[in-house]
Amino acid sequence: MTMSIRELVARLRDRIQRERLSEELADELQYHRSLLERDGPAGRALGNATYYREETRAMWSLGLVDDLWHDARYASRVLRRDAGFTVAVILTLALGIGANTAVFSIVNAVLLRPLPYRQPDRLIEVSVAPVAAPTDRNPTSLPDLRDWQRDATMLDGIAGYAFNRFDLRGAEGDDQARAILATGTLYDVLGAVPLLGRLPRADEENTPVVAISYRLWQQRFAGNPGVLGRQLVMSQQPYTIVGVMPPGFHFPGPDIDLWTTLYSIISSPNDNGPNLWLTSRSLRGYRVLARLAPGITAPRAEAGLNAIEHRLAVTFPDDDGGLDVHVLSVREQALSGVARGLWTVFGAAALILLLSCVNVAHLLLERTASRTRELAVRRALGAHRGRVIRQLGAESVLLGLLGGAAGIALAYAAMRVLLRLAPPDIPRLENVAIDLPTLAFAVTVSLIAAALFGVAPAIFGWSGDVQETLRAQGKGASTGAHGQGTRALLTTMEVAFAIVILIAAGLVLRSFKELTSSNIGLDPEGIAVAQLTVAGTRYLSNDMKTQTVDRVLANVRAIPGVTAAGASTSMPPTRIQEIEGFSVVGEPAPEAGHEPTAIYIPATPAFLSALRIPVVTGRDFDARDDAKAPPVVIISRELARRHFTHVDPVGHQLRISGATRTIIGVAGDAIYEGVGAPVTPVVYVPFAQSPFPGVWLAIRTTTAPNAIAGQLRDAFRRVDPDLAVRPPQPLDVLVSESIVRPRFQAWLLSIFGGLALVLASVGIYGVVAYGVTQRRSELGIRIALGAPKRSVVSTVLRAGMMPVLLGLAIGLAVAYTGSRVLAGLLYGVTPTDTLTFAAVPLVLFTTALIAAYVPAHRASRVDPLIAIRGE
Amino acid sequence: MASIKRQSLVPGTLDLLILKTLTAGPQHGYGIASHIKDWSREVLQIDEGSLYPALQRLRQRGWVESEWRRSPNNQRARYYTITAGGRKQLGIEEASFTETFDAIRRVLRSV
Repeated sequence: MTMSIRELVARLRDRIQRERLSEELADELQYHRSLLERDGPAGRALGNATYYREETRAMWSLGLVDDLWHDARYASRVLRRDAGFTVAVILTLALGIGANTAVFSIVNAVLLRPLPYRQPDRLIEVSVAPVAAPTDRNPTSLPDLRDWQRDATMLDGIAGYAFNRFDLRGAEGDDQARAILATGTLYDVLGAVPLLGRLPRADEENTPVVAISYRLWQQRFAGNPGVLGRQLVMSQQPYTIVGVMPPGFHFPGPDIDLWTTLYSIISSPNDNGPNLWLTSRSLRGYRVLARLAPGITAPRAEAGLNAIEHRLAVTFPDDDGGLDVHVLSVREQALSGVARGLWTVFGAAALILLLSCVNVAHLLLERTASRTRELAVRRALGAHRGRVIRQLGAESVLLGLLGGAAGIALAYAAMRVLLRLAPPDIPRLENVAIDLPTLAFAVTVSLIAAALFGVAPAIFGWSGDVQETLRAQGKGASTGAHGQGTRALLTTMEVAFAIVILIAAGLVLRSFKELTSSNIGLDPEGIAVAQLTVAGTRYLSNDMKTQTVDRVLANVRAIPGVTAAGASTSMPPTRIQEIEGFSVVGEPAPEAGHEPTAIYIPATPAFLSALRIPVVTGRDFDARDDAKAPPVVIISRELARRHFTHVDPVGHQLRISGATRTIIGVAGDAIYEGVGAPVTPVVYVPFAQSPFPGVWLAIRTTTAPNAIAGQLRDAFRRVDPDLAVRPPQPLDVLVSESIVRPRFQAWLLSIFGGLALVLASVGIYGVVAYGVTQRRSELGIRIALGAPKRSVVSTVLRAGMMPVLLGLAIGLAVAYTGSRVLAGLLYGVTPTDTLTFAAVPLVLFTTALIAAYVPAHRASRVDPLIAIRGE
Repeated sequence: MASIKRQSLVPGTLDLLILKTLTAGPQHGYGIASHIKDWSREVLQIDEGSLYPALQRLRQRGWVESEWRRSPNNQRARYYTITAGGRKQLGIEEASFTETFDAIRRVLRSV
């Protein structure tokens, strides 16, 4: 029926004054009847006044809206009446919706929300890689970047940036902070909006200005807005603070607190000329960010940059030969490694929701069956099909929304726990909140869930013959083959969902176990790790750097409890300072772009022994290997395996980083690229022969690593009172922190796996128990006729376990074909790991068997008399 | 939905009959029902279950207005009056009904 606006307004007005209209109508009808009576038998028999009144009243209602309101009120009465049932449904739903909402809030903040830059989809990361190893992405050199910048017409701007670590000293205390050193145009290319002030300008490349992170602003300056224009001493050089960035600004990662210029590089010239990081084409220290010009696609920009790079290769074959340029969208770059894990967790959460929907569907189905009489009475009184289905629908929606509300509360609590356990290197994690999109998601999920679990009862609530149901006088609903089939189907689905989650959880757990027990090539127990920076004007000379490190180490070794101490520029499990190309003297020179690389680690004597990285052949460094001694090198086993397959490498020579070095030993393989990463070649050179301003100290102590903080401070300060000292960290903590991401995934998926197991067993128990109740009289007759208990148990078990077995088969097939998506997350196990695929079904089968056995056993103890008579 | 006594009403004609009745002057519900019964020689009998919802509908569409008055026997009764909009609607419905009715009659005579 179409309705004009005018009519709608009239209806709305009538609806509001319905009570008055109702009274008037009563008067009107009264008058009508009085006249009918007066006209006597010539009139006609009296009709049903209430009926007329109802029909007329319908004209003052708002149709569907009023009906829905009525349905909702009726539904809430029904749900209140069955409080136990309602609570069970709401709790089940809260688990599913809560898990999804909590995970969605993370997915939304980390993956879905746009990056906080101007037109972030136009930003690309540019890197170079050897032709032979296209995945071996490297930054570029400043001269190369300047050439790209001059010639690249398909870009709207291109800029470079390097990482550095600064000591912050001052009244606010000692600290260290990671910084971005940017070429002039970086911040224009990025197009980020500061919270306060501004970012460094293009004309300030050689000016000591810095923008600080929100975190640093809060921690160090207590959020004081007067911080703009103040001085910040960064590694002994004063900088002017020009801006504060908003929370959640993570360029390019969450660990950066300072965004500054090239000032620190430009202001520290080499012994004889400008800093090599500004002039050398072989020092590839600059990552490159670019903005695509309008209408230019990333592949076209890549082709254009390659044309430039290949021209450079002709002019500078040593530095630019054999390289290709690669571009990657900044979004992909920022989220690489995070996305797959999060989507996996999200997928598991979605399956949990399906599981809880199936459970609720079964609960509803059971209740609909026990309400058959109520529904039949309503039909007999003339309710039409749509009306009854709508009523059941209203109950489902109400349940869904109540479950959703409980789920949001649960998600809120769960999220706080999640955030505490989540790896801190996931970008934008602090943006996670139960915000509007998350709430919208929760409500949508609740309604979808209501639609899913509401379908079955809505269909079965109507089926069956009214007369028959009413005649069945209080016997409750006898379920036909129809209902049985549906229940079996629900069990099958439940088992299939559960097995997929459990397989995923099993694989990730197995992988995590492999990871924690993998060989890291050193003994982290009892090692304290500290940082020492010998930068700034005082330490310009190489001798000064070496001597200072040596004197600090001597003081450290004198601390009671310290049994060994050494220093190097890289530290397991993840700190790598430098990777260099090398060649073996005597081997044919590799083609450009095909040069092998190794992690290049200047280390003091006793560094390897402190970490218990064994020297398997030859000798360790000692005091003889100083700056004036012949250049020497210790190679890792992996390097020996690749280049000295059949000969003893000791005595052979390597060319690396501009020197030819004689191999004096072979060390065991230790991890520098993270636990679980493939083993890569490493070379150690004497620190005295290749000094560097920043080193890590490895201190083996018999006391707790944190207990030496005070003495360590003294050891530093006795050498130079201006050296910054931060508390040492235990190496085993650093190792376990480096696998926090896989641990987080393993942890989350285990929880989901546990939930799946509980939901599935509760569901199976419910289905079997209900089946037993339905068949009580039949079972009673069997027992009365002398059937042994065992046979009753096995009858019930068989009926209960058939759909479980079917679900197992379907779930395993799905998991087997689908587990490939997990491949990127797994370490040391294949996606079709036999153990997981054998153990998980066994666990689920056993759980299901127990869940089915409890009611089956109860069925065998049914008293036949009561069962047969019992109504 | 017109309900029946002896003869079912052609759907949609109840509004037409009520509006037409009211062109003779304001009338209460019982009066309208009596008028239709009398003038149809008791073929069309309108019961309250159809009449009063129809009157509410006509009121909401703005085709009739109502007011409480004293009836000749001094009882309170609600009198309905046709509005200008109601007259216009009556014209449209009357024309369309006649047209449809003639068309039906032509078809019935055709074979």
